[in-house]
Amino acid sequence: MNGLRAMFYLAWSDYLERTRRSSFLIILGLTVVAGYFYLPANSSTTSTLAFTLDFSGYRGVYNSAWVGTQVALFASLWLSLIGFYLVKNTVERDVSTGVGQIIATTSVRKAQYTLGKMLSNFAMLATMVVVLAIAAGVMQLVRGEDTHIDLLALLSPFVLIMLPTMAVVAAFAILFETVSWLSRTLGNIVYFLLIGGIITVTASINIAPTADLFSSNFPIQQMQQGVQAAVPGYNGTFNYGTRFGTIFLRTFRWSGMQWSGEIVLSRLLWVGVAIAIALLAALFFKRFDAVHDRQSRRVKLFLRSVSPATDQEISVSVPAGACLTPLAGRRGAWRWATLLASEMRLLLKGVVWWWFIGAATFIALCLFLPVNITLGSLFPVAWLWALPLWSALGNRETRYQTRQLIFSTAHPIARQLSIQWLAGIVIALLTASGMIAHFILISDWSGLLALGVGAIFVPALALATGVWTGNSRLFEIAFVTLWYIGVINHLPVLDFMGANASTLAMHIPLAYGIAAIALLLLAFAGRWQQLQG
Amino acid sequence: MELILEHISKRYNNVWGLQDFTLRVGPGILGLLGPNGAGKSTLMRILATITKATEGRVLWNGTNIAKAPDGLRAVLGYLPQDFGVYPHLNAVEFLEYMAALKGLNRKISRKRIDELMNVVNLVDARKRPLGGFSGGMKQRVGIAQALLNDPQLLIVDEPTVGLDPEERVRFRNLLTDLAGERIVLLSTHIVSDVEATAMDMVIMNHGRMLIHSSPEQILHLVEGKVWEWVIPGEDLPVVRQHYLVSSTLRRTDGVHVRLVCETPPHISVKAVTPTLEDAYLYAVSALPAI
Repeated sequence: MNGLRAMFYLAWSDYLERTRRSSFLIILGLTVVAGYFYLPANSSTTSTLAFTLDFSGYRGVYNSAWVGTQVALFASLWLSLIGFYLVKNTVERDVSTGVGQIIATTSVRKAQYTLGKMLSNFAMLATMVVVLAIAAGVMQLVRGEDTHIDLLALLSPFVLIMLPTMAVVAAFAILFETVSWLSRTLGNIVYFLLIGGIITVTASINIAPTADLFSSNFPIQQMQQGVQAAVPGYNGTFNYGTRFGTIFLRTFRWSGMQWSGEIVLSRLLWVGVAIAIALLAALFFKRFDAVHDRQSRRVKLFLRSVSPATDQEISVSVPAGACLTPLAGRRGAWRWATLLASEMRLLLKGVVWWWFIGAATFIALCLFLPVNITLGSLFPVAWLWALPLWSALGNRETRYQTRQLIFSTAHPIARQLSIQWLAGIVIALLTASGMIAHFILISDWSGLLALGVGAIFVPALALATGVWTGNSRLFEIAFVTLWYIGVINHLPVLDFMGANASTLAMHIPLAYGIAAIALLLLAFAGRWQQLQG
Repeated sequence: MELILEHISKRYNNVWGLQDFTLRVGPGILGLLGPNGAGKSTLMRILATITKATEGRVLWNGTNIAKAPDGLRAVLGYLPQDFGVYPHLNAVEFLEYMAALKGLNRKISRKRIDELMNVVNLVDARKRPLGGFSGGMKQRVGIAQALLNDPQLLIVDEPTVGLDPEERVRFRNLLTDLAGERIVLLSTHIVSDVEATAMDMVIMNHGRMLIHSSPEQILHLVEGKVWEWVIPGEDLPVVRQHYLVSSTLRRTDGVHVRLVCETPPHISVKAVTPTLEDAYLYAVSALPAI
């Protein structure tokens, strides 16, 4: 009983701490905005981004059944991605606040801790689901195609489709935090690719409800049955995803989901999977033991070598008469090259040796293989490889609590922040140096220009998001999303590195050049605000 | 070289962390004493240009630091109460980074860092990653970075926290040596730190200044008001309730209670020589804000 109580309070206090931050209100606001895009109006005049369920030119009338199911289906996918990054900070917070050290000395078991934290993650995501469900109801009234609210039809998809999926996401977040090599940037990339892979697999093959994490197949099958009944000659095809441009879909009336016992059971099974993942996380959780924290081998070796006696030894071997030479008149100038070298060292220090081997391999491959092979695949991977380095930009001062030291130096924006951006550009150019050399050899100047724009855009994005959020998550989500959808899946408007021929034809690099400047100004504004105290 | 604080106040939401603080500081060590929550760190952060006062202004050699902070920052050394370091850098690399931020060239900074490693006694640990440093060693790195640019204004907030007794004495001596032609602001709640170093001191509480004077003058506050009283152990709670107890010592003849009181509390008490600790306690409990 006491164990359950401890678990509840672990979850509850964590939930309160998170929801009392102003950023949570912003997240809820964005959740409501998302509800708007999940239910696009039929329009012949506007051209916007919208999420559509298109059954050969048909969709359901926006009644409670269709609204609830459509919003839950889309939100289940997107919140699985975004939600993970939003909640994956609960163990990290216990480390940074020092509360973890206190928890470690209590009788709370590892499994209680990971389950409690999973519950907290789930409560956060469930709050967003509740807000989204309310927004969906409001949107049904706003669209006005059917103003009768059927609460059961509206809410049941949120409960049975979304909540079990969110439980799994909550559990994954705690697992990734406890496994040391997944706890930072690499884990963020791995999760994105994992969820992207699951979405692709579930969309491409007809899997059983028990294996369908997002619960997307059987609602669509029931919707298809609805179209077949209402529209003679429906050929069974459907389109499910984001769309730019004007939308006009004819409508039919759909009565809603038939929740069979098998479906309900399959969803409960995923809750069980979530609990199992949280328990698995307990195996990796080191109970805030600093020696097990993610540190470089050198730090670990040093920790092993240091004992209280060593420290004491250092204390007593005091050379007498130590003195300081006056520096009058030799301080305060801007030595940008020295500062750039220091910033580069900060970016590269602690990076494992095999990272350099990987980067060198990508440089060589981009130099020697044909451009049509490297540009759309190896070069993007080379920049994905550099993501952990860029992730530190703008947020390092917050993460390592050096803000007071750095902010009290002269011209912290013009000097330190701008040089940090420059260091990010140097990383981009170095990791892309094989591609740059290849472009020069074949005189592909437009490709080189697009690469150059990408090289200033990425560090500017990292800097702006890092300064404003104080961590690297938003940058990593944004980068991997742009990288995956724009670069790898060839959506020109999101191709920030000019990896596709159509990107150059559409003059997209120009837009990213402007965006880079805007982001840089945003970063400066954020730092200026921090300096105001 | 002059630092002037004119009616400085700082409000956090509806709570005043600092109220109507006025002070003029010249070269030498000024000790700021006060209990936790007195507003010392708030004041230090305002002077270090980390945060801005809600009301009032701070002038460094006649320039308002809220409007033009970089003039002060170029000659400022600041050791915050809580700060972090980059765990993968070693002490020298971290100081080189800070030196670059402070605008020192490579040659000067290397010489300076060598000297500082000696001064803060980290020569043996200079090449080890900071991630493995103990609290005291990290504090010494903090002291070194504050002294990197040979600051004209040195602000140290609770600098001896985490230092062992030997390092604490060493740091006090260092501060005294440095205090010749610069302003040193030493914020602490450890009376002995101020007693050993400061030529001038301010006692503050609840965000307000209680007294600004030399340690000798402050000692005069409790001249003839400090007593030692030997009482049975069971009477101690009652004595604590009625008098300002500075310290207690259990002996075979009873508890030796040191207390501050305007008049002798009992016929058996004997007058003792006051310490700065007694004066501090008296000021915090009895003096109105100025």
